[in-house]
Amino acid sequence: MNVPLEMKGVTQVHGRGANEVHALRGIDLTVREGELVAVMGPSGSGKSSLLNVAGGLDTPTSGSVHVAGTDIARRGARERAAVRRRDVGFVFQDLNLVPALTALENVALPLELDGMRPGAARGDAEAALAEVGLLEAADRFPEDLSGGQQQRVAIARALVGPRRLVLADEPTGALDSVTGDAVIRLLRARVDAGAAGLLVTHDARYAAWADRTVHLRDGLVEGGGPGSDGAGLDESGELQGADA
Amino acid sequence: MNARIPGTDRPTAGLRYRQVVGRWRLALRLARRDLRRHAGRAVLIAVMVALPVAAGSFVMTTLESNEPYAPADTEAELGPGLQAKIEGIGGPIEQFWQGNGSLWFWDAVGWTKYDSVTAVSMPYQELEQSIERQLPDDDQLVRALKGTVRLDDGEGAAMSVAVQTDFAEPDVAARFPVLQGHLPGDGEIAVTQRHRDLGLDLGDTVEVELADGTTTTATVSGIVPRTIDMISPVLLPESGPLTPPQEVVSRGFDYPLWYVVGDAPVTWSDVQDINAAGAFVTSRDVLLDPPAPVNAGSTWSGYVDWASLSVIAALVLVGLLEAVWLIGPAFAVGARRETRSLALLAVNGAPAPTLRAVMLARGLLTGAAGSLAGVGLGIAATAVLAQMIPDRLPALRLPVGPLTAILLVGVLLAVVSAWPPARRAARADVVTVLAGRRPEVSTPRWPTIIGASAAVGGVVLAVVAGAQHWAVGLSAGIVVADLGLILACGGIVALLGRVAHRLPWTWRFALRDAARYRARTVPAVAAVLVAMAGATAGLTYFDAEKVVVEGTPYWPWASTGTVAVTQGYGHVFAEDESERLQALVDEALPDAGPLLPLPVAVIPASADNSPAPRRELLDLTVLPVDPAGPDVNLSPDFNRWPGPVVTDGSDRQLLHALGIPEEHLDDVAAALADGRLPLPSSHVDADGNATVTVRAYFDDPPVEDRVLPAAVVGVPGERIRNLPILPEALLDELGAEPALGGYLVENPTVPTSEQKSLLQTRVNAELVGFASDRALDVRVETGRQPGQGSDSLLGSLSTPWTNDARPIIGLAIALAAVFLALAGTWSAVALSAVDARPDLATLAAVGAAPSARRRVVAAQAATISVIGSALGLVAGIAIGIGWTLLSRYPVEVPWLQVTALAVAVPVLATVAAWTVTRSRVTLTRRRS
Ligand SMILES: Nc1ncnc2c1ncn2[C@@H]1O[C@H](COP(=O)(O)OP(=O)(O)OP(=O)(O)O)[C@@H](O)[C@H]1O
Ligand SMILES: [Mg+2]
Repeated sequence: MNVPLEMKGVTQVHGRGANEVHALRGIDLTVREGELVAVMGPSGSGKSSLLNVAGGLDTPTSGSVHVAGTDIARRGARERAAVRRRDVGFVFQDLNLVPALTALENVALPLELDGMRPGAARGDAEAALAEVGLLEAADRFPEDLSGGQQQRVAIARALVGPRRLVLADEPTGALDSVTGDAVIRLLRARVDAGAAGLLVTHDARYAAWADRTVHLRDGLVEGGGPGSDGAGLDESGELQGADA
Repeated sequence: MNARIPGTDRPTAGLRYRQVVGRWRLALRLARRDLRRHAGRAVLIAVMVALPVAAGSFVMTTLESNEPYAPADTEAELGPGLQAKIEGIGGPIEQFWQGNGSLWFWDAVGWTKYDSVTAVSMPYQELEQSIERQLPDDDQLVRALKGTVRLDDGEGAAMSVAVQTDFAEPDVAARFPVLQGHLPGDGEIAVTQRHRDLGLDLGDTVEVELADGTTTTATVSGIVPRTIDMISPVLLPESGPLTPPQEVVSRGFDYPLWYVVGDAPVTWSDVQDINAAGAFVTSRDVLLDPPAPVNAGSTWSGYVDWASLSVIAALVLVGLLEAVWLIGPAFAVGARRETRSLALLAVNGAPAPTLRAVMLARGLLTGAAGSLAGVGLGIAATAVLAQMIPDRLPALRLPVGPLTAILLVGVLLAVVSAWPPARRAARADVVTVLAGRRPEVSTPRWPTIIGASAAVGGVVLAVVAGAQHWAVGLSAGIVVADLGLILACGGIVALLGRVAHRLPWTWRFALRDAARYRARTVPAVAAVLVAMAGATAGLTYFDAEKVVVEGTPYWPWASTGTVAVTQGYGHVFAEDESERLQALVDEALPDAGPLLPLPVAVIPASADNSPAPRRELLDLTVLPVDPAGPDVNLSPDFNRWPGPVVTDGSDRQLLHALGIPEEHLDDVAAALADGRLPLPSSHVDADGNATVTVRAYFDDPPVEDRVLPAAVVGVPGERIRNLPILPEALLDELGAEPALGGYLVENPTVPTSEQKSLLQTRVNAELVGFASDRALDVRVETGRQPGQGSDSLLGSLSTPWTNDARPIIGLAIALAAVFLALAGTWSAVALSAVDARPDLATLAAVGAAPSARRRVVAAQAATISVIGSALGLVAGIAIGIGWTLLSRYPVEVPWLQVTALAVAVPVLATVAAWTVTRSRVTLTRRRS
């Protein structure tokens, strides 16, 4: 099996000239199967940029980004879209779901977009919803779901069908702590079931659920310079998060 | 998935297909849900699509329903059950199908059956038998006779066409619906609504007189409806009184008829056989399943007027653009609202085509709904109109092809309107949208430059083409100017956004907002612009036209309200009919003055024994003294009576009836008594003479110029239609003699059309009777009617409806423009209010007064309507001038109305926006 995510020497520059912002300055990062990696750092440190590049929503200025074995750094929009349909799922802070689609349809969305027959897509989506414990909400629209439920549906969608990598950008940011806990626990459980996850969070409590934490500052992994994969990671994450 | 080509990442054809299907399935699902969630906006868009579609469907359905003899008229021709109607011609003919729904035929001898010069004939019995032989075996011939009858109930008479047939035959009876009573049996007659209006009613006894003079009496048993052609026949029972003719002759109108009843259809080949036998066939089978059309030579393609066609095409194009401008912004806002949804689709791997599909599907659905509603509305409107004027629209007929085309155009309109926002949505940067940042707008400068150049070029082209009378150039100029202005709009709006920093914050906000959301502002400005340009052009043109039309003097041929009874063109009365005519006039016009015989001068005829002799006519042309001057030749109008009126001037009432103004009566009478021609000073020389060209009307020259004594009457140059009036004393000198040219009756008021029609009916029944070679015309001098006369566009537009339509049409143009302009402004403002909600909430949070929202909205309305009106005004005046020049009218810009419009639209838009906006600011979530 290919490694779900492998980033090497990734830099990203926004804007030009006077407006130039170095969001990422050389990131090396690998996320393996069954691994949940937390990303922390101050505002503007490049966390969202990292996730967007990892999921092919954005392209790096230099470096390579391998998602399930494919380098998407130099691929066109069409191929990156295909990778997002099959390999990567995003979960944002809120408003993750298309309001006009039911929970089930939201989960089935990447499969249908990829040309899967509606019946088969529905079956896979039901399985994914069952795994997050929301099968009974399948036919409800997002506005009839609580914030926590919406995030769980988003996680189901991020891992529906063949997708194995979930990129979560502050998925608990809009939730109260109890609900937030449940969402992180679910994420942890899904990763334990064989997925891989990259979780951006401000909250050390949630980071504690991760296998390790990467600290970003000014576009660099803290404690490690360019090229030093895994430097500064917190290997004790697993111990802390066991049954908090 | 194994749907990919092994070893590569390329999808197989099957997968690609499923992806496309999946894309549209998803797009339509999202569109459907979205339309339900935002029903208000969807309805707005649908209505905007529906209106032009409804207008188009209405016009097409009305035209189609107005078309004569199309298959759906089978019901009227043949009722529900007859197989065919056969008209005996008397000689072999060749029928053909014209393709426009009507059957016509070439005659074996002339080229139509109305050719009265060459006639053929054959015995009635023989024709009937040979038709019978050609019929399908299962069908029977039912004899019907057609003839002219004169009905007299003792109080008045009327001439009518009569059909006499066997109403016991159910299919024949079903062909003649009865309004009241029943179809005639022995000794009975069914008359039409028209006869009922004239006083006949159920149970009345009438005398039925035939052309040969025989009379019978019949009791009115039923009333049949008036039909399309207004010459619906009265119905007589099989038992008589009409008898079959000996010979069937191919001239005249009263052809013998047969109806075909039975089960077998009369096919096209049967029709051709019957043609050869000497009869014309209207067959149900042929009407419903016509043969290949034959070009009858007189198709209208020969008369295609490219000039008007190009103007119409330009107007349609501009109209469609207008619709797109109006609909587009609504989609744009929809797109913005849904940007997050679209971004989420993109996050989950939707490629750009899918995102576009989602937006286009919305256009598709609203377009389809709006178009369907529009077509329904158009058909319904035609149905209502058909109820109101059943004579013009006998049956509602649907032109399936054109309606389908209009439907598709409607859908296309919506899809095209949705396209630019769809493209923008598909291109939007996902990351930016997800971060809640506003996408930056880059403003290319070229559209402004190209647009401005095109606008100037188009306007110049329009004016120059107009001056050169080059219609296609004018139309092209209009379209180019219009497109150019719209292209330039964006730049103008952006420019205003840039200079806004000097203005108070309300304006700054409004202008910057307009500049930032150009996708919404520009179409709105364009809508206002086009509406204003159209209205201004229309007002400019119609004002010039009005000046021309009203400048045309109206020359009455008699005093207002006078009724004239004359023989057909060029004929004089052979004998005095005053007594009989007087009785008819007394009945129809109880308040009328005495009957005035109208003497005209004619050249004595050698020998002419026809009942209405056409003498050689005397044509007098009085030349103006100064042949180079502005004054025209004066000569008798032979369309009215067959020569110059001749009198000794003693009958003042006749002179008055002839339209001589009261103040000139004495002068005219004195001149005539004195043996002089009464003429305006422009036609009388210093010696008191007039130069008159005298000739025989039907003869080629000899023409001679004569100098005749004359007297000046009236103001110089004033034209009295009946001049020259000839003094009796000059008759001998001209070798002419008086004849009875007609009768005049002065009526204190203009007779109503019912009065006129009653008099005509009575005159036909009493004075014309069965004489086929005589016609008497009843005419009324109505005085100048508003909008009447001239070949003006507005005149022809308004003629079918009402003579007073001219000011209404002008008003309608202005109102339509105001409506469109306001609709454009308000839709943009309403949409911007939605977008600006978070900004206004922020403003409120930092302490802006509650009225801020209103002020901002009003400022936005003002921005859009002022830019649109100003640009539209300039373009419209230029186009109007071009159009006016095209028609060779003097240019006349109605500054007052145009300025009023240009001021009214922005003021209305702004005040209305101010009034309807609530001051309360609703707090909203910033990102949704
Ligand atoms: N599209 C863009 N254009 C210009 N600058 C950008 C863009 N996207 C991100 N940046 C800049 O890049 C830097 C990193 O931004 P990023 O959103 O990745 O930070 P973050 O760590 O996610 O912050 P936060 O915790 O506030 O979400 C910031 O300085 C930001 O202003
Ligand atoms: Mg962030």
